[in-house]
Amino acid sequence: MIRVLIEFVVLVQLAGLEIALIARVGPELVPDFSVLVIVASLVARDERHILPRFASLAIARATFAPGSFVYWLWWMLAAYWCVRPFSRRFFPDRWPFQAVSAFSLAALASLSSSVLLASGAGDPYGRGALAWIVTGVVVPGCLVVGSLFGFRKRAVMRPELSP
Amino acid sequence: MRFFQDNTLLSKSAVRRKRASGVLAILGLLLTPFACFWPEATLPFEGTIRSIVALAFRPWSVRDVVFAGERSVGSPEPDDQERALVDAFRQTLDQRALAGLELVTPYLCTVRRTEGGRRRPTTLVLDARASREELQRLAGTPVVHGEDLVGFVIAPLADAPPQGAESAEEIESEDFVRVRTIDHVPSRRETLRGIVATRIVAVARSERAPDAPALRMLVEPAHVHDPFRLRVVRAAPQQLETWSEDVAPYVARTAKSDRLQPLLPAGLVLGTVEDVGYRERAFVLSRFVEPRFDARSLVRVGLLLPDPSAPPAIRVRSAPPRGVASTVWSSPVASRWRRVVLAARSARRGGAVIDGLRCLGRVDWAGFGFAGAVPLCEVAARIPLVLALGSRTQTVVARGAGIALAADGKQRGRFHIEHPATLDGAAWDGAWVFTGVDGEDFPHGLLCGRLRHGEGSKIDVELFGIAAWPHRVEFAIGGAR
Repeated sequence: MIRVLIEFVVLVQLAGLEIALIARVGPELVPDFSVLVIVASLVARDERHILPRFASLAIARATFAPGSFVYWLWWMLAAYWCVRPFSRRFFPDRWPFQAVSAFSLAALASLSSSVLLASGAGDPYGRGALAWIVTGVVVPGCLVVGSLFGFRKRAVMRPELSP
Repeated sequence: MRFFQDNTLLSKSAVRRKRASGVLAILGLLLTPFACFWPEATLPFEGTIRSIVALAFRPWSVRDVVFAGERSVGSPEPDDQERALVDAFRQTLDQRALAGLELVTPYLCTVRRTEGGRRRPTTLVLDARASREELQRLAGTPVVHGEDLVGFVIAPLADAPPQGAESAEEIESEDFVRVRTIDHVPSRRETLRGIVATRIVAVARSERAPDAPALRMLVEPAHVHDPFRLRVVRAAPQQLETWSEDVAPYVARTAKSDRLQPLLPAGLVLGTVEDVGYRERAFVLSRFVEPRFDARSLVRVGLLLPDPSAPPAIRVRSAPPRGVASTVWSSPVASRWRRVVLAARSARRGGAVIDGLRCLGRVDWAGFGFAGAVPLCEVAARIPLVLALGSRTQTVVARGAGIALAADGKQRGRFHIEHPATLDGAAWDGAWVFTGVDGEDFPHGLLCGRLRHGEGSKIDVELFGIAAWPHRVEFAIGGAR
């Protein structure tokens, strides 16, 4: 419970920071932090804690930016399930794979937001190809830095066949 | 350790993880239709959760919530120019409501809210209260907007308590004046109570060729699946070409009939005649009338009293009370959307956020002492507006299309006009934009901005709400008396 609360506060601040950066730096250079959370969840692969984490970020985004809680929660779950089949490859040291995944998810986020939230008039955040590339670069970088502070893929017990 | 379905040995945590992944997949599938078709719909409890987000983001804002609404300071006084502009708007609006009815001066009333379907409301609740005896006396009184017939005052239901009445005396004695529009189709429950659709005798004449033959007809509300809102039950002559360029449009006006509509004066506009049939063979299959008003966009209407010398005993409220709110957080002005978190007690969803005489936006969610506000041009939000250019006014129902960048680099609020469908935005360049009526918490006559560019049904408005908001704002509390 305490862990969920701490994550909630951190993710709310992260959503606020993202919007502040978009305003200060411009949407072209700010990575999509929801993609960072999704890829980090794939690396950690602790699916029992994913739902509260996604829900926290979804409600923060719905409060500070366009889109409802349901929309953002659905988007993160859908994106997670799009990439989950490749989750065996999500290790902190396999950064090219993470970069490609982050780039693809950022592009998917922009396109789906454009279609569903802005009636096809473009990403409401104003992100474009450059922002997707920045996301692809920043996300593995963050995970490498995170691994220095103890963020690693958790040991998963492999199933063993019974005799 | 335990065995899983396929006889595989798994740890307890691995089993829980598998279950969690299944829950995630099912939840994702269940949310798909809601996210794809209603991406902006908020859940009933979402306001409270968003309040917790606001608190986690700005913990010290709880102080603002505690004192919200208790400070005596309101927003700064509007300047003289704003006040003069709003006064001029009200005058032109009333002139519009009086146009073409010199013989019978209507008793003007402000619309408080609409009832019925969201897309097609057919009952207007006026901002006027009267005793039940008085309402019974007023029943059947025609209600007009300009020279357009809007509907008729309805009698209070004998077995239903009045809505909005708070004290026991009010429940027994008073209710709002309600108007049923001419396109109202009685529900099954109303039919069982003996309420039937209103039939109106009308005469349609060509606007372009006064000598063209007239069309006499009997009109009633059309079915919801019909292409237009009124349908012609009987017409004489049955076949008459009304769509050729020489004669179109045909405009239907009320005719005098002592038997069907003794209180209704002749000459009120019902709408334009619309035909469905074979154009090449000049054969009409069915004939309809499309009214020129949309109930969602009406602000002021007039009651055509049978005896104008004896004014009705109606209690009219002057202005809805307002609450005070302070800005907790505002999204940056440079972003392509605008979100503002307010510390505001008793704010309600849909209420107008006001700064003096200006409308900045409306409340999107509220709960727990916090409220979130968005500008009027929020994507896909429908809003009634009134355009005022000189002495001309035009009520419209607009759909927000977000914030667009103009050629000069300035941000503009973009709207698409849904009603009237034929409005040319270019003809309204420079018009001031005011609020219409959209519920009790969204009063009319607030200044929204100025129309800077119009092109067809698309208009770009320089909105006050997309500039930086002041620290202290007000919000309408229409439900309070």
